[in-house]
Amino acid sequence: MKKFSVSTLWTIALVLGLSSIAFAAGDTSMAALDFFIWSVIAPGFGIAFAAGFCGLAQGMSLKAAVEGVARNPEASGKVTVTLIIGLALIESLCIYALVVALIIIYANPAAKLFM
Amino acid sequence: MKKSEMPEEERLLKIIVFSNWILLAVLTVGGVLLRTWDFGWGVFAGGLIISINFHFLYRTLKKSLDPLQLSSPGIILGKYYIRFLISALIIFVLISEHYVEPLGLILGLSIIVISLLVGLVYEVKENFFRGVV
Repeated sequence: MKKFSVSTLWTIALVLGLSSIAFAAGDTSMAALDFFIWSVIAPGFGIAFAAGFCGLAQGMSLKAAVEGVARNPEASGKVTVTLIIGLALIESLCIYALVVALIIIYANPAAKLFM
Repeated sequence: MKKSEMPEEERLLKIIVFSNWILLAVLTVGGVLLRTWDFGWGVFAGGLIISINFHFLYRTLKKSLDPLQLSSPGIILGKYYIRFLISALIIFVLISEHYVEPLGLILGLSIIVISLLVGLVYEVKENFFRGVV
C-alpha cells in the first residue's frame, strides 16, 4: 500500500511538472504535445479493449466447441471447421485493431501537421 | 474424391482457400495497376500473412480437437504464441518502417474475411437450390 502511494505521488508530480513545461512552451507546442500524448493513449486503450473482448469471444467459442466434441466426438470435423471460421473472423478484428494502433503510432497522417 | 462425395465442411474449406488465393492475386494486381506499388505490396503482404495464419490455425485446431490427431497442449500453445508473435512482428516492421501503404495492408488483411463471406454465400446458394433453406 505504501509503495503504491509513493509511486502514485511520483506520477502526479511528474505529470504536473511536464504540464508546466508544456504550458511554458506556448500554444503550438502545447497542441503538438497534446496530439502526441493522445496518439499514444488511444492505441494503448484500443488494443487493450480489442484484445480483451476478442479473447473473451474466442474463449467462449472454444468452450462451446470443446463441449460439443466431448459430447459427440464423431462431429469433431464439422465442429472444427465451424470453429475455424468463427475464430478467423474474431482474430481478424483484433488484427485490425493492432494495425490501426500501429498506424496511429508510426504512420499517423495527421502527424505532419505538428512537425 | 469427387466434389459431390466430399463432406460438406471440407468442401466449404476448399472453397474458402481457393477464393482466398484468387482474391489475393486479383487484389494485388488491381492494387498495383490502379494505385501505387506500395499499395499492391501492402495488399500482398497482408493477404499472405492472414492466409498463412489461417492455414496454421486450421492445423492447430485439427490437432487439438480431432480425436485421431490429438497433440499435447504445450505444443499447441507454443505454436499459437509463435504464430501470433511472428505475425505481430511482421506487421509492426511493415508499418513502422513504411514499407507498405497502411490502407493496402488493411485490405490485404481483410482477404480472409471476404473469402469466408464468399464461402458462406456459396453454401447458402447450394443449400437454397437443394431446398434446405
